[in-house]
Amino acid sequence: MAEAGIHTAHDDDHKPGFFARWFLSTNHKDIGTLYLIFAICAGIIGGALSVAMRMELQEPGIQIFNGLASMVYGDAGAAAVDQGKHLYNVFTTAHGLIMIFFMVMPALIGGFANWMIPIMIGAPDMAFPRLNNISFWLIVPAFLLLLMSMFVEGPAGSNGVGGGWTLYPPFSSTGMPGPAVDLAILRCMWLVFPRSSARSTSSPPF
Amino acid sequence: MEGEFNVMNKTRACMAALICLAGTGSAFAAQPQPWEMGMQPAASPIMHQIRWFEQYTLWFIVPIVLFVLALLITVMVRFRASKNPEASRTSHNTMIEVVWTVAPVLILLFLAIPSFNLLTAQLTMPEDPKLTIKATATQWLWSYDYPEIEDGEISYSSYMLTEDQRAEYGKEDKAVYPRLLAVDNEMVVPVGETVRLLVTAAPTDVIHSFAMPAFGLKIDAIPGRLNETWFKADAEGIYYGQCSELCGKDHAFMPIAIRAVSAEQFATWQASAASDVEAANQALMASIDNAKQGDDAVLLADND
Ligand code: HEM
Ligand SMILES: [Cu+2]
Repeated sequence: MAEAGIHTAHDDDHKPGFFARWFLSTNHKDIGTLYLIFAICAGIIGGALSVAMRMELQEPGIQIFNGLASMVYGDAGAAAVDQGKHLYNVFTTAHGLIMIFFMVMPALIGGFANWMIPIMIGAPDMAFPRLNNISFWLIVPAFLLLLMSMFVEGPAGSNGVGGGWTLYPPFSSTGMPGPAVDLAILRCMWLVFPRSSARSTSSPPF
Repeated sequence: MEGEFNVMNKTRACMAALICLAGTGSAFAAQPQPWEMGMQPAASPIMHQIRWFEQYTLWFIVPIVLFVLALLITVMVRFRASKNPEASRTSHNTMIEVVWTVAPVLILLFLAIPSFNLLTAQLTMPEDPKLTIKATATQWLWSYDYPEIEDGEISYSSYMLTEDQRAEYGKEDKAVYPRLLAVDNEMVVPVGETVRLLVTAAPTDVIHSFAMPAFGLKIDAIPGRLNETWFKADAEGIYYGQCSELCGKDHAFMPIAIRAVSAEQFATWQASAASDVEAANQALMASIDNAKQGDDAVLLADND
């Protein structure tokens, strides 16, 4: 009896349930996998945006996005053309931000670095595994904020942030009043935290 | 028959494409061309220098790429696992390390010196400018001021020409006045003269950028800041560029057009532009058309 009890206590083959494994993970490999899955999803969304952009760029002028504007926002005539022009910039901005911050960086730093660095240096896990977990789970709402920033009210008569992924002021500040930029900035802040913490997390325990 | 025609057409199309690529004999070369692969032909001293620098860097880049490719292939073939089962344990070779440090430094020096020369040349006028023009960007148009002209200051706005304005402005010819590039009032400059260009944006506006590919010009228009550069047009004609810093919904619809004219035409234009730019531009276009018809007449006479 006693022997059996000792045996189970030392059994390291813990099998957490689905929720505990994927949502409460402190395992660098599982978190790395989450990052990779996330990056693939974001890449598909960012890629879908680029399809619309390339369709518009088949010819000079504006011919696709004005239709999109009237479909989504119900604008007509000149208002649809104006909204359409702005919508092109919104798509480009979201495409640039998504591809870099939500596809390349999560895949390379969050995915591959999480998976490989501890293995390569022979460490059991990241230095701060819980921080590693929250880093990932902050990216998800940050991505939702970015997607929302495409649709909420932007500069007069139009919706979304169209400032380009560089978000240069004053175009991204006084040049574009409205909550859309606020969301995009909030998105940045929500990203900065996981990014910086990801750095400290990935400093392995030497 | 049809097959033959197709072959003929294809041959012609290829020849036309080749001629376009060579950039020779094209009358309106200062604007983008369909299927254009390279840069627009140079039309200013700076753009000539840029083109030279581009060719010059290719003499470094292409050999380096080929050299590295050759090294990679050699290594892959000569040291493949089947031929070379025992991995080398070489960890030092002073000669190689010196060479691969010194050689890149030398290459960078050879690239840096002409590169800095070019940068300096873009911002240093070779002589006292004949004329100063201030270009101010606003969402979404350009305004041009000629502050130093005796006949009163010339100051006007330049908007993209809309399709329904073509007749009013006498700009029906889409080869000369392309859709989305033509403007109502071009910036007018004398050909072959150094023009000082001051570029800024309206105080409460956003950043724009003044770009003219044929002149090798691209300089930011920043609110509250004056950026200075210069150009000198090689030949008469209209040159087209576009705003080159994302500035909002009509960023793609605030083109830049510079019309380079003869010294006499410029003098006439500036005498009347201060009071009425549109009339001055109409008169200028008429005198350019007349000059062209004169040339055609001369050509016809020559042919006889
Ligand atoms: C099918 C693949 C892709 C297509 C068709 C595509 C298309 C485009 C186009 C047309 C633009 C320019 C929009 C404009 O300035 O008018 C653009 C911008 C951009 N793309 Fe992509 N893209 C693709 C993939 C990617 C990837 C994989 C990345 C990054 C990893 C990326 C990052 C960017 C960035 C950063 C910008 C600049 C955004 C801005 O100016 O604000 N793209 N893309
Ligand atoms: Cu602009």
